[in-house]
Amino acid sequence: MGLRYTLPILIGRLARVATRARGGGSAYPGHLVNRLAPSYLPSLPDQLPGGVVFVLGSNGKSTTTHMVSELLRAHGLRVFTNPTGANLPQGVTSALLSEVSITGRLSADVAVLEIDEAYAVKLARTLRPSIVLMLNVQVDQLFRFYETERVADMMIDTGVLAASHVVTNREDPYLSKVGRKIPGDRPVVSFFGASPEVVAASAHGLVNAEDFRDTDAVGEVDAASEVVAWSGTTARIEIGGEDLDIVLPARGLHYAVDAAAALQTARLVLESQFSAERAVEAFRVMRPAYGRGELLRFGQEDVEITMFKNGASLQLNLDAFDTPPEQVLLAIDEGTPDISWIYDVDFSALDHVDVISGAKGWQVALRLEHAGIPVHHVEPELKKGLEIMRAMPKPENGRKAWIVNYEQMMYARKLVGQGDMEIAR
Amino acid sequence: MTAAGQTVDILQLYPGELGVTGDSGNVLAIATRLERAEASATVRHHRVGDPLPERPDIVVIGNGPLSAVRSVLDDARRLAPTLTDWVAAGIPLLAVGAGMELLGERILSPERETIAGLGIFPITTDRAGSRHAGYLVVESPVGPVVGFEDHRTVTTRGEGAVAFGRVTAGVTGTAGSEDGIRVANAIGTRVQGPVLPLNPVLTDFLIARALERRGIDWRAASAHGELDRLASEARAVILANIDHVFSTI
Repeated sequence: MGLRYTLPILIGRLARVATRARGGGSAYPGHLVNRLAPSYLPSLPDQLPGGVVFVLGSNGKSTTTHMVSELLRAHGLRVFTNPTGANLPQGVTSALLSEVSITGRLSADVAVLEIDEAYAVKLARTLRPSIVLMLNVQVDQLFRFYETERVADMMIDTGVLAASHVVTNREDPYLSKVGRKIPGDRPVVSFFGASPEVVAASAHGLVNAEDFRDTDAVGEVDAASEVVAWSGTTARIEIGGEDLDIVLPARGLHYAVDAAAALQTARLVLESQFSAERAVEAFRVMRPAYGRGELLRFGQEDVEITMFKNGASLQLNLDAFDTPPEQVLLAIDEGTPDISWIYDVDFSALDHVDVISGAKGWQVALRLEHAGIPVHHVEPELKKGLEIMRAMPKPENGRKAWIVNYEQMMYARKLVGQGDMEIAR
Repeated sequence: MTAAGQTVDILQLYPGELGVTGDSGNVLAIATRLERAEASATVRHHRVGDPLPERPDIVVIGNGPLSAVRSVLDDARRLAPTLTDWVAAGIPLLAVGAGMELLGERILSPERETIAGLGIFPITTDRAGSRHAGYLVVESPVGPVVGFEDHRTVTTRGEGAVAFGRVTAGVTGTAGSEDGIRVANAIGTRVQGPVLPLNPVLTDFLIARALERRGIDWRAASAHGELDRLASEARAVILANIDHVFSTI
C-alpha cells in the first residue's frame, strides 16, 4: 500500500464516475488501474489476515459467493467480495475501487471472490487464494469454451494452486477427482455433496457433466458437508457431525448443494470460530443473489426472476417449481449464442408460457411446439412482451415468473425501473 | 399411399456421449413431423456395449467433445461394417459435428495424434484449425439450411467426394467453403441448432428417403403448418443476425 497507488486509484475512480454517468457498470476502471499499477491487485492478499477464497463453477458462483460472504459476516468478519459477473481481473479491481482508501488500503479480514474459469489460473497466481471452492462442471457456454473438459481442467488447475484447502463436489464426475492432481499433502481436499436419496428424488439429478475422459469415479468418500434432506426452500445439511436445518435464499436443490459447499468453506475459514447457530441464522435472513430466485415488485405484483445461462441451470430451476407457475415470461436473446441445448431441457414443469421474448424467442417457441407446451404470445421485443405481461390480470394464487437469460434480465430490470447494475449487495 | 399409419424406426447412436448440442432435438423433429401426419416413430438408442442394432429406417448421430469420440470408438468400430452396409443400401443418416468426424476416415487431434474413424465418409478432420463459432447458411441440393456452427476443424474430402453443401453466409470464416459430406442418403454436416427443427426441408428429405423404400410419397402438409411457420420465423431472425460476432475463448 502507499502513495504510489493514490494516483492510479484516483484515476480509476474518476473513470468509474464517468462510466456510471453514462449508465454503465463497466469493468473499464479496473482495467485502467491494472494497466497503470500492475502491482496493485497482487498486493491484495497481504492485506487480508483471513486470506482469499475463490469460488469457481459452471453454475452457482454468484449464489455461493454470496452465501460464503454472509456466513462469514454473521461471524463478525469483514468481507470483501465482488459483485455478480465482475469475475475477471478488471472486474475484481473495479470492485476494489469502491471500497479501498485513497492509498489502496482495504478494510477487510477476508476476500470471497467468484472467478471466471477462463481467468482462474492466472488470477490464482496473482491473488494466491488460501481456499478454492469448486462447485460443478456443467455443459456450459460451449460457444465460448468449446469443450466441457477444458472447463473442468481450468477449475482443477486452479484448485491445486490453493495454499491450504480445496473444497470440491463429490457428486461432480470431473471435480471430485481433483485429489489425483495433488502430489503432496497440500492443499487438503474436502468434499461437499448430497445424499444418494436426495439426488435420486430430483427429476434430473444435479445435471453435472459426465466425464467421458476418465470414467474411473472416486467412489464412496465421505462428504464433510452433505445435503441429507431437501424440500423447496428448506434443507438439512449434515456438517461436522451436526444436522443444520436451514432456509435457502431461493427454491431448488442446486441452492441446497451450494449451501453445503458454502458451509464447508466458511467452516474452513473460521476454524474453531464456526458456530452452527450463527450459520443457521445467517441463512434465515439471507436474501437471494441478484436475479437468482429474487422477488421484484412489478406494478402491484411480485415477480420471481429466474436467471439461466445454460441448459443445466435452466433445468435445475424448472425442476424447482413445485407447481407450474401461473404466469410465465420466457426471454432469451443473442447474449446466449448457441441454444441448441434447449432440446436437451425438459420443459414439462411448465404447463404453458404466456410470452416468449428476445431475439431467440422464435427458436424457443419452436422448441416448445415440439414439446406440446402452449405458447400464447411470441414477442421478440422485450418491452412489448413486458406490456403483455403487465396487462394480464393479477395471478389468482400462483406466481408470476420471468425466466430469462442474463442480458434479458438486465434489460427487463431497466424497463421496469430496477435497472440498478450489479453493485453492492 | 400416404404416410398415415406408418411407423418409422429411428436409431440414435451414443446419445449420451455424442449428444451435447441438442442432438436429441434432431430425433424429436423427425418424430414430431411424422406424428403430425398421423404416422408415428419409434426411437431406439444404441449405447456402448449394446448388441448390434437391427436395421432402422433413419440413423442419427450427434456432436460431442473429442474425449466422447474416443470413449465410443471401440464400440463404433464393431458397428462399422453394419453402418457401411446400411449407407450403401440407401438408409438415410444424419451425422452432426463429431458424429460426422467419427464416421470419417481419420481425425487428427490437436496434439497431432491420428485417430482412425469408421471410414464411411471419405473425409479427414483436422481438429487444430481456427475457431468458427456463429450462425451460418449452407446451400445444399436438399435446400438451404440455417443454423449455428461451433468447432475448430478443417475437413478434407477424398477425391471425388461430394460435400453436403456450400457455406454461403456467416462471419466465422467458413463462408465460401464447403460443408460436410454426402454419401448416398447419408449426410454429415457442421450445422447445429439443432439443424432439423430449424430446417424442415432437411427433415422431410430424411423421412422421404425412408418412406420411399416402402413406396410411400412423403411431403409436407397443412398439418405441418405451425412447425413450418415457427421454423421460418426462427430462421428469419438468424438470417437477420447472420453477421453477429460471438466472442470465444
